[in-house]
Amino acid sequence: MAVTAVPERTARQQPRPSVGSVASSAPAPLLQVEGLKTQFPTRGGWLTAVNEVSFELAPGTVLGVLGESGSGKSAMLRTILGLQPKSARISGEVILEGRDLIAMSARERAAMRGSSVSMVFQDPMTALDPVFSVEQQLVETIRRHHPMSGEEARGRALELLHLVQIPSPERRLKAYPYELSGGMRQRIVIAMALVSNPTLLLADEPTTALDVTVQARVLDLFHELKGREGMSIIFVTHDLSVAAEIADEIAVMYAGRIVEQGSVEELVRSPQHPYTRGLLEANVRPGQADRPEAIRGAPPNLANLPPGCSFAPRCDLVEDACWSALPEPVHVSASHFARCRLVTASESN
Amino acid sequence: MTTTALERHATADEPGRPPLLEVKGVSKRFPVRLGLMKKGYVSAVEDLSFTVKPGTTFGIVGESGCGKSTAARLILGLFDVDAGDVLFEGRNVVSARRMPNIKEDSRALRKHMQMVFQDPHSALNPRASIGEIVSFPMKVHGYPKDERRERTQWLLEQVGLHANHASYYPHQLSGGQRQRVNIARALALSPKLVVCDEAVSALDKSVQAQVLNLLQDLQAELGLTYLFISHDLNVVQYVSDEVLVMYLGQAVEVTSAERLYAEPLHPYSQALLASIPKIGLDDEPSVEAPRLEGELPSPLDPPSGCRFRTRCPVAMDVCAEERPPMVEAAPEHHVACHLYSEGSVEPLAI
Repeated sequence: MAVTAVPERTARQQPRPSVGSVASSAPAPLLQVEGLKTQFPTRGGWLTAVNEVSFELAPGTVLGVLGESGSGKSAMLRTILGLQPKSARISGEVILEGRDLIAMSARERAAMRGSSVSMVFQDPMTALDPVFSVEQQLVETIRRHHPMSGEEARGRALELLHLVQIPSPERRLKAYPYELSGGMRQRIVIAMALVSNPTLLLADEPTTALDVTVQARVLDLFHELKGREGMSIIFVTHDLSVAAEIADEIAVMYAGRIVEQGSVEELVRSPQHPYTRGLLEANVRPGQADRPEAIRGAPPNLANLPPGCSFAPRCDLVEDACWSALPEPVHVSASHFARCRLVTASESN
Repeated sequence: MTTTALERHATADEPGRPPLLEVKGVSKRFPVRLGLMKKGYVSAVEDLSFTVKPGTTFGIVGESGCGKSTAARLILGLFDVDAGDVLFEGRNVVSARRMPNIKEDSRALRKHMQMVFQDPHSALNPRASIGEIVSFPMKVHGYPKDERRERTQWLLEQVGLHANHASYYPHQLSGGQRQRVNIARALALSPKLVVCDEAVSALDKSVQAQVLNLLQDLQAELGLTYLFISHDLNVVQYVSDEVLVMYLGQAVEVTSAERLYAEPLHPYSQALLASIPKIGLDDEPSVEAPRLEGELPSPLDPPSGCRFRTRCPVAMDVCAEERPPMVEAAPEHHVACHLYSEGSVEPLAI
């Protein structure tokens, strides 16, 4: 059942300048996620937030995870980072640099967190502590991971603020979060995530709370980090156009599963899964004059999923068989698959 | 769909039809305490003017803090204006609100202007049934009980819900359904003007399209006029006939949605449009403009002259000295920028 997107891929029809670093010679993946499942206890039974998710991430690439609220995208990030509550039932493998994050002890995982893998949260308003200055928060984080003097840590903090392009960083170090704008705060949060040069950055809707003009600059920053630091990024978003701007590959999540995954080109130009197609149709694009095609209905209740395809109740192309059996992933190319019965392996329009 | 868009334009362009809403030089400042004894003012909206034709959708777009929500509340009379007038069908909303002895007049005006709020979760009383929520405005305005019940059913069906949803409570509905309830409540008193303040922003994309389509169907059917406020440029462009771009409390550009997106004149409008992330399909129009540098200036101490000049890539000396007047650079295309003069879309050579 587990699927891995093979990193080997064919040449794109129209390569985007930003995706030149996608591995073509299949280096060892930085991150391997295998059959990851996260369940939470509820009064109505176990709620499956992340359901058998598997993927690989090559070094220096950006995976965009696209999904609506409740699709399990944030739960997946938190599971990878080991931030789920004790009551959660977690199974599967998350192998980062050869070590399984799920199997290791909480102490070992805490050591990995912040050094090899770190996270940027959605809301820059709540991710910083309002009673400490930027300097105090950055220096504390730096010294937590690297034993060094306060003076050295301050120097490193300045470097980081330069890296995330904060104007007049000396002055900003002394500032408290309330004195900074949303875009500036999000840069500080990103700087904090970069303290130990992590190889993997998890970003949970990092631009959703920002205005478009600020978002554009923060996206530029992510591009630069990827290029300069060779970092791999998992970028979770509900916005298809943001995912298309930032990612090399996009995984579409629905009801806890990856229902389609492929390169940005493949996904945007030849979406296979009816849900992905629906999302593309529903998204109001610049200059659009036609009525957007809405997907009918609402996302399913995760505590009580239908036995077959979880998109079946909203799908226009639904057939009898969709209700009974879970569709297996069908590969339309080496790097592109969709979990839908109607997709045939040979089809490639 | 394009047919209804055309119909809307047809009604809009009918000669001799007076505007439904006229906003004339409206300003609003909010007092803030800066220290123990110091008081300052945040200039939220300054000298805002525009007119909305009946049966059309007027969009207001801008980033957080630009004053678009304050503008909506001033129009509805939820805040007092400091200066200027708001005329609804020629009647002054401002004076109707100020004079207590003509409270009835104010109430009658309110009936014709309703609002759909952003957050479908907090806008509904969790302890009231959907039926109670939708019929409450009618109760306030003294509709008889039978009529209330009948109309509530009709309204729920209009917004694509079931009549027996009336007995549900908000927590039993999804986000999209709740926003439908909000819309039904806003329509309860058959208003002429519906103000949608970020009405689809909190919804998932697949549901957002449903609600946008619903709003358009209702407009075509009931002849509604919308004031549609959003930070989402794509959505505003799609639903609106005319669009006003705001920056730091001031209007910088007003024109038809097509013109704004095809030929934005103000440097801020250009930067805003260039910031929209693209999917990467070939048919997307694209606007080239440099990224906006720097931060939004504080509204406590807005820049002199043109408020955008501190971040404007083409700012000139005159921009600091004089506030640019709103000029009609092309027919039906107004812009407040020193680069343009009356009847000319060619920017001044610098």
